[in-house]
Amino acid sequence: MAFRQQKILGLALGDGSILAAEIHLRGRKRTIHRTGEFPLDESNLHDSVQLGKELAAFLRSTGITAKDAVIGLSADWLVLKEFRVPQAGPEALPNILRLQAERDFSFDPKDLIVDCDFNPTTSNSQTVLLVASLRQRVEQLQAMGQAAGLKTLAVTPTAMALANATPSKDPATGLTVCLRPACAEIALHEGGRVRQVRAVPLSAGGEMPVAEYRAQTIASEIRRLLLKMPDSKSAPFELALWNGIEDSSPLPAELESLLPVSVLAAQDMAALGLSSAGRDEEENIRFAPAAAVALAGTAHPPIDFLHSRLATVEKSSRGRQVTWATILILAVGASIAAGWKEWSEKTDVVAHLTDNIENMRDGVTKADRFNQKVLAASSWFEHRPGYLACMREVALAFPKEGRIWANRLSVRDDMRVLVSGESEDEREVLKVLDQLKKSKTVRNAKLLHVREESGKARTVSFALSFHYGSEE
Amino acid sequence: MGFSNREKWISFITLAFVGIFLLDRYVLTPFMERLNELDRSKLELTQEMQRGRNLLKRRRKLSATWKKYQTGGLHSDPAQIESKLLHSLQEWSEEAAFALTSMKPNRPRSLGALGEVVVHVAGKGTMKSTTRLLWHIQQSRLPVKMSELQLRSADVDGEDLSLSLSISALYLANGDSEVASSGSEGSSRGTRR
Repeated sequence: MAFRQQKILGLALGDGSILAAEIHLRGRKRTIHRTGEFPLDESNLHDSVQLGKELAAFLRSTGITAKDAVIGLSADWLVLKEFRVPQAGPEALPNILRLQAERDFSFDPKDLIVDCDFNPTTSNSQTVLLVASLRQRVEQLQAMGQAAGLKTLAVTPTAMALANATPSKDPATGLTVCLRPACAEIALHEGGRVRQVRAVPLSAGGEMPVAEYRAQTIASEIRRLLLKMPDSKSAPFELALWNGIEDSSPLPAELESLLPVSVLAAQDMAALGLSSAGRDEEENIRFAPAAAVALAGTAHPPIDFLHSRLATVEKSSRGRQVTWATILILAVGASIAAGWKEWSEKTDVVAHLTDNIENMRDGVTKADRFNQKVLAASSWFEHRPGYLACMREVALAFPKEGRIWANRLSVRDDMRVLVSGESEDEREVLKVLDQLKKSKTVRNAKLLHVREESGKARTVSFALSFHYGSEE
Repeated sequence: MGFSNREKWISFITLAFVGIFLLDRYVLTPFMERLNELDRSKLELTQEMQRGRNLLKRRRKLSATWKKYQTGGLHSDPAQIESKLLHSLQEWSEEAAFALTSMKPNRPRSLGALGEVVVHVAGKGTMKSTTRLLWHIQQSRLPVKMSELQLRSADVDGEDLSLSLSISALYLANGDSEVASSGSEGSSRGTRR
């Protein structure tokens, strides 16, 4: 059965260089394919992009083509703290650990990336290893990988990756020592989990033979390490030595003389589950840390600063904030868009109406003048003032018998009518007035005067006025 | 110097309130006012447009009426309409057996696009003849209307009536100068019988 081949690049930083090892995975078969050592000046890390470009050029020159990479951090870039915590739920525990990290590490929490590894001990408590590194450094390495055209799968401590990849005959307690020209990285593991990591500088030996100096320095560090782990299983220990230095053959014997350990030296790639594909084994061993880092990319490593368990909580919180911010921005954006649309539509309608009105203004003005002219002219044609009808209304208001008669009628232009006459008595005048008031076409009918006519017995003169026509 | 959570929250809430206040004062309120103003403008413009449409529609209806008026004796020459009116009055009075004592045309008066010639008429007659004369005027095909009327009775029976009447005749005014010239001509044509 054929599987797609996967290539993973391991980059182990430390000791003034980056060790690179490309491994190929096809099914269960794992092969170390190409290796290389890229000189690294840590002061250049701030220019990650330039460093990444140089790394890319170096990888091309060595024939490394893998795009997925795992970055291994040197032990002297790490701060580790182990402690016991009570059993807690999956939501509470990260918060406890974050508080613990803030308290135990003398850095601003914002400047650190912290991950943890659990080691269940009893039913009531568990041992947790907190591992922290500077956030800026991890971000620089990520940027470097990106500039080099790599997809960084994980950022993990090299020593832990090597310790986890190294098989142990005694799974209870053991040590893994990775020896490099200027330093040694020591990992103490117990029950399959790394409990401590140390970096030991091996730069100067004085007059002492180099192997002896290295052995004593490493042994001293191991003793200090064990003193801080009083609950560790007592000696003898198994010590796996990854010797990346050619002239250190006496070292295993020296270590065994100084410590109650049995050293498993001269490890080969097979110990990591890798086939060498015909490469020089001694050369391969020098790149074992990088190969172990690459292998860490095949599964989730116990410590991964890119996918920290503690950062997950923070990320979740930040994720909620981002979600809310996104919702808020979308809501504000939608409101602005809706408001703008409404405003735009209304402005368009108003502009359209204004244009239409402007276009029809001349026609409307002319139509208005014309209509007024026709309406004015209509009173000379079909809507003439009803003078005859008015006279008829007056005539009907007077009785047929001649007890009251009009001798003067005047109708003004505004259809105000004045009737004056004489009557035998006042009651007849009032009757005529009442009759006029009953008419629907007569308004404001009133008596102006009634007075006795001088020189005429039993006769009164009167005057009435009213408006003829409806109010319209 | 770091802030405590409480201080951060107080700062956040204060800033949020200030932000909301500023947003409301300088963005939301002016924007809503502008929208309301646009609504008002839209309503006013719609009403104005509807008024305009109504006027145009009414004009179309009134066009037929106007044609009828023009064919019904509406002239642009005031002298012509005045002459027609005077002749018609003569005919109507004779037909009604009403004795006209005077006819006095006034100076033509402009009413914008229209103008009127007013003739003062006086005469005597019976109730029947007076009514007959008024009926002729009322039913005339000429563009005339009575504007003032005064009727006096010399006896109780109403068989001796004195009538004083103003009759207005309409004409189309083409310009002030034309009206003025027609007016001066009309005023010199007063007759008295």
